Amino acid sequence: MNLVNGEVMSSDACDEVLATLNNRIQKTLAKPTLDPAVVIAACDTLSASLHENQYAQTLIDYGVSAQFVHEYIREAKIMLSKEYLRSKLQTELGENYGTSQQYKPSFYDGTVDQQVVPLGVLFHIAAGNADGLPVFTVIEGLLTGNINILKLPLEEGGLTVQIMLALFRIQPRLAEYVYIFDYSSKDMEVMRQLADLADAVVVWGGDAAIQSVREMAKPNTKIIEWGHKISFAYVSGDEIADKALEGIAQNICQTNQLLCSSCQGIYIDTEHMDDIDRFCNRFLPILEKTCSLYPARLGIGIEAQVGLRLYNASIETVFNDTKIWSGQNCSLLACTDMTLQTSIMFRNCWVKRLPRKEIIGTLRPYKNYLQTIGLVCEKSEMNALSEIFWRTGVVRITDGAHMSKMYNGSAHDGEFPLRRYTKTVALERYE
Amino acid sequence: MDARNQLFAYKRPYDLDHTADLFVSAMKQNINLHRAKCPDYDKILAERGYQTDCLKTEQDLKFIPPIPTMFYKAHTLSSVPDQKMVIKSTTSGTKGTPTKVGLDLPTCYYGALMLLRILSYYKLFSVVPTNYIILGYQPSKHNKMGAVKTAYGATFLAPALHREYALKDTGSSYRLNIEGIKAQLLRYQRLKLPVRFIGFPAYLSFLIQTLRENNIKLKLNPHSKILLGGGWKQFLSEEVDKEALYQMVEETLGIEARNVKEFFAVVESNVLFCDCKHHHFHVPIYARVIIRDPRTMEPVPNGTPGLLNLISPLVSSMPLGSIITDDIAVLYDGKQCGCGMEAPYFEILGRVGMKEIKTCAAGAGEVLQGERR
Repeated sequence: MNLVNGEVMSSDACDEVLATLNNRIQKTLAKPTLDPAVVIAACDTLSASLHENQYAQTLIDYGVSAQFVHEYIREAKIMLSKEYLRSKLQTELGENYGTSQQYKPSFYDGTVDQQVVPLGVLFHIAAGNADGLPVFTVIEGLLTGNINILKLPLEEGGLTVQIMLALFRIQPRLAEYVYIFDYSSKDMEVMRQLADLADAVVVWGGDAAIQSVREMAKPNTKIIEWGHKISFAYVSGDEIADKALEGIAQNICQTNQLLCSSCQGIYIDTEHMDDIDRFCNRFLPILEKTCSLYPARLGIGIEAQVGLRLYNASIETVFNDTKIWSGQNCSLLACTDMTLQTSIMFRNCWVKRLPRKEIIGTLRPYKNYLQTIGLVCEKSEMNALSEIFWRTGVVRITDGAHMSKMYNGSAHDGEFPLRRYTKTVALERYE
Repeated sequence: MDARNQLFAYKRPYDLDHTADLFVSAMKQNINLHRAKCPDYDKILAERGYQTDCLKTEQDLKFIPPIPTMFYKAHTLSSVPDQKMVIKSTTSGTKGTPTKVGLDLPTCYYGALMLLRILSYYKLFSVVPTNYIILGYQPSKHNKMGAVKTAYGATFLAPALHREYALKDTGSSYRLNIEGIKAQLLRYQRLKLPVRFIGFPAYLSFLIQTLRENNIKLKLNPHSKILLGGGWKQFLSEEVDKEALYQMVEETLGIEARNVKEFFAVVESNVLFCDCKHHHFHVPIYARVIIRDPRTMEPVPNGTPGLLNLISPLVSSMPLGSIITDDIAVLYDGKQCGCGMEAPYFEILGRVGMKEIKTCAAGAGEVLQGERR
């Protein structure tokens, strides 16, 4: 579905829009900077109007799985509320965002008016692995006063356009700041044309998506990458409470290990495979029990993929000494190597050794791929272990249960998005 | 007497009833050969407690531990030294590492016999000079994909006057050659000789669409044929309507649906499946098909979807006797087809996994949409 100036458009009509896009954008750019207060007020009204009984079915119709609908609506209400957005703006861009700071730099003649302003035009290429992501990336763009061109992920279903339309009904002034197209990312000519219009391309997705944007964008187009990341749990110490392990199991079941922040596997602070076996014996029933609390309804495509990979893993055990702990709806693969890898997913997780003295050497090769660690250890150890993990490139450490949850003001992959969508300009005077 | 030799020399390629014992003997011989020549394969079977002596009837075939094709991507299993591999092919490897499959001379010989029998059964050999449209890649030194060789090989079924490629070799990469194809098609029509189209269904669909958009309607020689291979549904959720496409083919090219033949093969098994007049893949005497429950790996009853397990004694160079592909398929009783053949037939529903998991055909789709490969 395509959306231009608040109107839903057919693909044919969009081709005409493309030809005039530059002019349209220039007209909007000539207007005063969009006030974040206007955006926040509109989002807050939208947040208040999101009633579960009204939207639950809509979300399901758009392909969101029923078990997550309640959680999504609750999260969306929070993330669109004025309290959340104001605090986000303040954390990321500071108290003085929107006003210019005048001062006389030391060792320098003039007076400087320094100000943080929008980049101008953002071209968002959204990924399809997280529901609602296209909406939030555009809201971040609006909050920083940018004009936003959004390329929808494949088979998005139309949810983004519906939410944007609701937002424009509340605040029609926002309509000219949002263009949504469902062109295929394989349509390189259009992609290039859209990228050329933008000050920055904001790309969400895997290595292939990022690589193709790097090849496509001209040197004078900035690239803001939100690449795919990998996350895992780290368990250290002898006195581990069941509750901490239940937290890891919860993350595995709630996210099906599909998100960048999902736990792919569990590293244990040990050199001995016996410890791995003991851990698996203890963790499998916990994971099994958690699976029954979050029943998964997998289609045959996914079920076949998981089954095939597990079967393949069982054949490979002949050559790699991996042991498989199989549950009803989940499994643990106790591997003898220490390599970081993605899991079979859908509640099938690896367990490996990683003594703390080998953490840096083992994880450094994955710099910029590492995101969250679900750390399970004694309180007194937290600081020391965190210090080691920061050196590997990890950007977030929390407990198992919170791996895929976000607190207000949290950085994304180690950076504040709003800072990346703005720049600092200076007006200098010499009298 | 060599059981494989007898099986592949047998004259009726779909007479499963009279060749069952021969098939079982050939399989037993095949498994024993690979166990002796490929220690890693023997290890896999031994680990699963498999004893080849237990293979006595067709019912026992399901007990041969099937090896997933993905296993071969990470491990090379071979039963002959490398220099004996006379043909080497790779899967397209659009996602991840391509699998290398090497075939020795006897495998090629029996493979050729199989092709001969199946293609003659469907009367696909012709002596009439023919013009070809290859809906795929032009062969080149920098491409070793099995699909390229197959398509090129297929241009020898009838003597080739001219070959035009949808993807032309530029020396280092490929470019989409729509204009060239349009021009050649008009020329082929004037020549009035049979035309054969060979390639991916996705390309055929694209070609027909393009011709229709350009208001080009052809009436090609009635003996013209379309030979397709490479998967219809890139993803399980995407329905491609075969009948609708064949209808359009008839309208646009003047080629009747019965002259559209579809093939199915995987590089790892090398057995050729060809569709009948009702467009179903019946199992020839060179193979057996078992559909397995992905959770338990147990065989499922006919009519139930599951993982595709192909069993064949064709290949002697690598232990590929019983493999599980990434396809989700359903097996049906042969009589249900109604074409007159009694051999069971299967339908491919799609590939395992989520939508981002791509097949050769999906890769082809990307080129169509302008992505550089």
